[in-house]
Amino acid sequence: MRLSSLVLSFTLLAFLSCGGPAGDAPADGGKSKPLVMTTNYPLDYFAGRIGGELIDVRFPMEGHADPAFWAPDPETIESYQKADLILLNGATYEKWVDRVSLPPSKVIDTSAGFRDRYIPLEEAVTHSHGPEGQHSHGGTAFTTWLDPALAREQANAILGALKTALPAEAAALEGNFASLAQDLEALDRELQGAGGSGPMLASHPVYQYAARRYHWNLVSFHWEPDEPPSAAEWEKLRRALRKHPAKVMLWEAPPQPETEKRLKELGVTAIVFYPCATRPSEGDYLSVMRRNAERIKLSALK
Amino acid sequence: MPATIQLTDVEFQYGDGGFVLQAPCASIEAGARAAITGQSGSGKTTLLSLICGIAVPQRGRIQVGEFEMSSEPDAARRRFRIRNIGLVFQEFELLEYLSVIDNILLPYRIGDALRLTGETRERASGLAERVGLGEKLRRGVERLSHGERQRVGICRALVTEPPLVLADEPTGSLDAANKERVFAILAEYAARTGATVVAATHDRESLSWFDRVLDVRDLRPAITGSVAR
Amino acid sequence: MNGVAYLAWRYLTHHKYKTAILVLAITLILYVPAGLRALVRLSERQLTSRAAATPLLIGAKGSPLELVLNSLYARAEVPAPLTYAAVDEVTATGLARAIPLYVRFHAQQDPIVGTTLDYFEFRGLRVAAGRQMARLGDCVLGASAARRRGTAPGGWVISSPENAFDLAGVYPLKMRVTGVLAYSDSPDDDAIFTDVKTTWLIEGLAHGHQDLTKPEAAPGVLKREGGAITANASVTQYNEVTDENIRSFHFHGDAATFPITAIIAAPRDTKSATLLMGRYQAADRPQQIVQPLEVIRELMSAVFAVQSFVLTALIVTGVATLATAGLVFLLSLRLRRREIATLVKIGGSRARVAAVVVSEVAAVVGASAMLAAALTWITGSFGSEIIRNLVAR
Repeated sequence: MRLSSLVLSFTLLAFLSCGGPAGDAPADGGKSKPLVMTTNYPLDYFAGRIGGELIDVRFPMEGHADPAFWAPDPETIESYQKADLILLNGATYEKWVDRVSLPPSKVIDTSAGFRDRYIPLEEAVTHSHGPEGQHSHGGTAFTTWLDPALAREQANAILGALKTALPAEAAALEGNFASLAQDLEALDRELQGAGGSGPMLASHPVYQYAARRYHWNLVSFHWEPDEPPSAAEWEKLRRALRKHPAKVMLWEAPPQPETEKRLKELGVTAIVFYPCATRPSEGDYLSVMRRNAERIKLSALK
Repeated sequence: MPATIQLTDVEFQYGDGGFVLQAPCASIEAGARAAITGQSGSGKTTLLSLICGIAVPQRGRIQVGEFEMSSEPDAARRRFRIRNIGLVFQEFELLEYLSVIDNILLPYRIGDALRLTGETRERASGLAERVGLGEKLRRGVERLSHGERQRVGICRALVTEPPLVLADEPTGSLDAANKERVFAILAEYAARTGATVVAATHDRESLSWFDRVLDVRDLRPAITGSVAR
Repeated sequence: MNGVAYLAWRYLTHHKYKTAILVLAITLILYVPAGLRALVRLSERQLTSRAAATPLLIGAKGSPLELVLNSLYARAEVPAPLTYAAVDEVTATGLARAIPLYVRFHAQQDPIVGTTLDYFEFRGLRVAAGRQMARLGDCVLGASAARRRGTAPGGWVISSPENAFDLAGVYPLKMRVTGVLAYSDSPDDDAIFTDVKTTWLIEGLAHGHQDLTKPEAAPGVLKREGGAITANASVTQYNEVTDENIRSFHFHGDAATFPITAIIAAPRDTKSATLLMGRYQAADRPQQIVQPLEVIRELMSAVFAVQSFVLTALIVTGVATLATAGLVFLLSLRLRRREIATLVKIGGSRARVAAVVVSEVAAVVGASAMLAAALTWITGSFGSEIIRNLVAR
């Protein structure tokens, strides 16, 4: 019948015009490199190591504030929307992602593979109002990359995403990843061997994943490196030391000399362990982490 | 070119076999103004139909000028008629949906043999003006009086400047003043062009206008030659 | 033959009422079935092309037609919801790209389509003015919706409450219009697009309010027990997302449990499509997977059945009307017999006299046919949006 053949031809036409799976990966051999955007420096470093010259990597935050408390401006959101791949750290690291629109098909949650191993935060504030009952705004610890084993898993997730985007370059990507993985394993061994047995303190609760991996016995405070702690905070520390006789305290950045001196008087050595969430002024993720390990090792030798 | 009309041994009978017209020998010479008289139903209209080729006799011969009316095929008769014979009817037979000028120009729109040109249009409006319709060229013929309508009918018959004009009771439905006018127009035309005018009429009063009178019933005892003027 | 055409024209204009009625009647009798067919054909083309461009739809078990019409036309009844977890489930199979749709809310007449940015890429929709939505509370408008509402980037759209007695939630949300899409000649032109997260905000699954740990919120706090704060209803809730208050917006519970109405699944290839469909065939599955093209074909076969019935009726009516028109022509021919006789007497040629006779019929039928063709063409060219409204309501 004429009509049915008409239907058929329209259908065919529609199929033809809609083409293949619309714009999944950029076509192989395309002139421009895929743009990969990340939400912190470690991911930027991993992607850069694996993708090398094959991709453009961008972590758009400027300055040295903590990306965990960052919210990109509209222009930056737009640049994320236009990226070919968006790498997230996950584990409730990027709070801003819940409030912006990103294309899910391009978003890779690099820590999704170990969701079951997230460390929940204890001190969350809950509130209730209206009929839904109580709800918590708490999340999980998110500095996953301070555990090189988890960092390796995140790098592996990046490898997977890049292979999908650049199937022809799989071998090169695998090679780059193998070299990164080796470095991470070496770092893991260094941290493993750095010591850190016995009770320790931390100026901020950011070392949960490293502490779990290396069996650090950590008690965390909320001390800022550039502010002198209050009398109440010193009192809290003294009380803690009675039950938890720590000899070292990990700091995200060098504390004020006065604070360091007063800690010394209490028998506590301040050690800087950079979380490296933003691009370091010198070196890279690996060298910064290595020096972190060395500083722990030195303190243990004392 | 005025035309002589010649009828020889003509015998015509309608299909139902009722009426018979016989004209063993009759002729009307070129330039004549001839009246055909006779009672109603005596065959005046039939005779005109035979002369102009609308009807064809079963026997005999009809010639209009050089044209063998009785032996030519229909298409040729029509072509000859539209070019050479102007017809005037008792009931005018105008097309109600046309204006005065369009009725006058009708032959040019329905005849293969004629071409409508600027010159023709001028001639048509000149004719209308001459018969007193110059102001009403664009008017619909429905809105004209009887007399005016017959003048339109005459203009339509004369617009092709035919050498022969056949009129069937042209004044039959007109009052005295309009009758006068009709004959005046025909006379003027005949005088100007030398055309032959043949009119069927049963109106005794108007016979004075004609220079020849034929009675249909008298056709049978052979009228030959011309009646003296 | 110009002379004859002139006479016919004169005749028809002289009898203008008769001519108009005849032309109208014949035009209608030709146009109604032709226009109907054109409309049906156009709607078929629209429905099938939209359906064909949407390979698979996943929704809660229920009417497949409702699911397809809601998801493709953003109209019709709202199908039963499924949870966002179903999206992750499809993504996890690696067989298809999953695009969530939450088509439930409206802003006046215009549907609000909650989805993700992948939808725009999938449908090939381009932002013509302004920019893509960036954050919670942003929306982009389809070209026709923007024109109808007289809204441009920088303007606002306020969601409508679902019904006047809805006390529980669904606060009107004032959404910021960041962009207007290019015209696509599809139902997308009539929709308001926003992030699925924003539709959850409309539903009340997310909200923003004063920080309860701050002193300004004290009057609204009923009790504090350690980390638990209970607030009363006076705590200011925001009905608009601004740069100042965006950080206070948060979701209640796990997004995986939040509702959506459908998932567009764009499979990698035919094999993936087959595998994916297989997964949803199990009877105990709370979801269904449908091929919109199949559903629309079924709908169209019903439409065609009705159409042929209607066409038959129209043809019967048409024959009756044409017979009447024929009678009118015969009567008019009778009336013109004397005129025809005059033309013959004067010496009109056989062909021309015949032409005068048929010219009336020819002119009327010709004019009607041309009119009907023009109307059908107009229907075919401009019926597109009308149909979309017809189909979807």
